[in-house]
Amino acid sequence: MSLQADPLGDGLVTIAIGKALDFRSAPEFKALCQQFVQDGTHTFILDFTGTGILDSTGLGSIFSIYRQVSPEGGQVVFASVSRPVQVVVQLTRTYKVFKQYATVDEAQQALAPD
Amino acid sequence: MSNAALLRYRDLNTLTEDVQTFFADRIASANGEAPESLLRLQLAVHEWVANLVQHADFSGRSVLVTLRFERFGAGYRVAIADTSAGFDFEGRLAKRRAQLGRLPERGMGLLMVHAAASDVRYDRSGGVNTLSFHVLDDGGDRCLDIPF
Repeated sequence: MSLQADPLGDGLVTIAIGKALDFRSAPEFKALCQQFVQDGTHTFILDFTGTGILDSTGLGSIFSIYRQVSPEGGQVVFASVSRPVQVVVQLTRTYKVFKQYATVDEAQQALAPD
Repeated sequence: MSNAALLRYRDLNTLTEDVQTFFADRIASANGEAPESLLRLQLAVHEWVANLVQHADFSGRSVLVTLRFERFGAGYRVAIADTSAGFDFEGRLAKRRAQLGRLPERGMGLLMVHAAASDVRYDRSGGVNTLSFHVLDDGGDRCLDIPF
């Protein structure tokens, strides 16, 4: 597992997904995100640089986090989306739910409070 | 990438990683030019393998999973055979489709295979179950229709 979390303050965190978010890594991802939610984080930037697989269980774990933060105005966004992940985004039309940014920097600048 | 492959796996503990490595190597060797059909092929195969690893009943049977695919004019032809007890594929697919909610946490695997592939069939014969499908270069507007 290669999840890397980078808390940015003001309720914002970037999580580098690494090689795969699938049925094997989804529980650890979900547990990590839950911890951040409990600590007051409301905005998650998911960094998909180099991610080779996002499967249905991985996507379901992202939905789970979104369901927790969105009622309070929180967000989950995708950054640096790899081609395999883009295939899943297009197949499931999840661009309707999760905004995408070309880079993590772009996402952080857009979402950091003024 | 070669036009055909036949791979046999006997270890469920390493099956997912082995398949992932197989596709990752081929995608990497395309230097960013891998066709989208190859990425959809990878996804469909991964989802099925994940289904086998998590849910298939191999008790009392020797584990054998065979992945066969070949390139044809319009895409890939794929067959994944296994020696598990099998299940009611069409019934389960229909159930998953009916249960699909707004932001589903589970139950999308078979639907994802169906969205990524065409002509999906599941046959059971002689103690072997075979999922076969095509992944077309022109994927059209296929989607897993999640009711957001």
